[in-house]
Amino acid sequence: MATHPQNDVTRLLLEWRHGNASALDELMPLIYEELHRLAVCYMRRERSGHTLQPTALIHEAYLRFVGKDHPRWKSRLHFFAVAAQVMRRILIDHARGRSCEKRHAGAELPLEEAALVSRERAAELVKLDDALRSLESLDPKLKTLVELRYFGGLTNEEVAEFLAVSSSTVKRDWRLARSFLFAELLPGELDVP
Amino acid sequence: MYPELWPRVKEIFQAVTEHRPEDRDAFLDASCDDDPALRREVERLLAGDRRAEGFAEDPAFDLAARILAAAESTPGGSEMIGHRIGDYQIEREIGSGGMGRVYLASRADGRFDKRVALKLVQRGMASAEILERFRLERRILAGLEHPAIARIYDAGAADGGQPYFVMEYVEGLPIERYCDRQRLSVEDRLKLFQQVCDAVQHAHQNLIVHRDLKPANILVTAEGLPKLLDFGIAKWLDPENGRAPVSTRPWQRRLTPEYASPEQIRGEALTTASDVYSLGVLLY
Repeated sequence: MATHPQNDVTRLLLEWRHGNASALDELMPLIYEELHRLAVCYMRRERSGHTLQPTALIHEAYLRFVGKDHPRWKSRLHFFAVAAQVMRRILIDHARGRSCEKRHAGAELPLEEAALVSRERAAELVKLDDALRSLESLDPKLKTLVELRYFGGLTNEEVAEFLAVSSSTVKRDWRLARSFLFAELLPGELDVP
Repeated sequence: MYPELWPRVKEIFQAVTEHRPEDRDAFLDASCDDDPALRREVERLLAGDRRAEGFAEDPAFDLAARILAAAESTPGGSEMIGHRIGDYQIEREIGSGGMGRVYLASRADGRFDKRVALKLVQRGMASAEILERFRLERRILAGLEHPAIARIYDAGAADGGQPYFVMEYVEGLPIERYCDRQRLSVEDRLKLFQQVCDAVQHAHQNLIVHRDLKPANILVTAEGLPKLLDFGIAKWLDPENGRAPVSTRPWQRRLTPEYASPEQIRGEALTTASDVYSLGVLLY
């Protein structure tokens, strides 16, 4: 298969924007690879005294793929939306692995990676992911909002632009989504008789 | 009860949070219409709201980036080389797509001196749709037995849980490049094409439409034998009417525009004619 990641990403983003949902399946591995590559570079720099700026990570990945050819391209936010989904999956896959800790002998994780997420935090992330699925079934837009803000690191204004709503709507919807997720995370404790 | 209730829950929650805490009870009394389920749900969210201040405010992003950076040590992509999956030793990558990667591999125990192609779902990217498509491809290949269709040998799950299957490794050139390279006469080209048609017919008789016939998916070996590859978007037909159900599933709309038939592009029901159309384009 021919690989021109730059062209592929621009084409697939466009297809996804125009409603071809399967383009997302092809986009995610490409974006994953690039984010992975950049994250490794960043971490090396961080060890020598720099701090990792996660938003810079996605911005840089975006520039690498599409920015140079299309500086003011409308698909920027779509790129961020896919990146947010990739980040969510990375985090949740990792957390699921951590929380059930079903490792084959000889496949022990190196200490460094194992220490990234505590067992408790991992369990919490898995619950959050489940809660997000419940939210999605009720209100897909709220799920996207959470994904963009929490996993994609987008500001309220950027989220508003993506969802084509005002930023005050984003603020109100975020409050609702956050309350829903929090209530789902602590069932029992918050139940009102 | 919930999905029906949600629009009102949302509306009341967003209205009541505009009120001062001491006024909220009265507001709820007035707006919940004595619907206890509605009221309970709004109150549950309000209880969440009282404690959710600051919750999820910092993006989880930093953590994800760190996991990503540490993922260096978990095999994926070119880092798979030399790794063992099931009974197979990975030698090199020979292809990749949205679904996963294809590696050249050999039996690690040396029981057979045979090189195989191993298709592995990419770690971290396996959505339910991708897994479903992957399993379907495996089942379709298992049901086909034809000298011009790459055979499936084995299947399993890697240590990370990603499914894989092992199939015949085809060393060859895409059909149109083979024809040019060998300077085949029109007659020889037609003979080759006939073998391809025969393989496609075999699939059709088994009610399978390939749906992505193009030169890159038809390799010709050094012995001059064509092999049909990549049933990744192939589809089972309905035995009743010989049509594939029109599907809204996104993955079933992946296609290669130059070779796709008009009904495929329009998203209409597919029949075996769709493959015949692609074969026609190919011949042309």
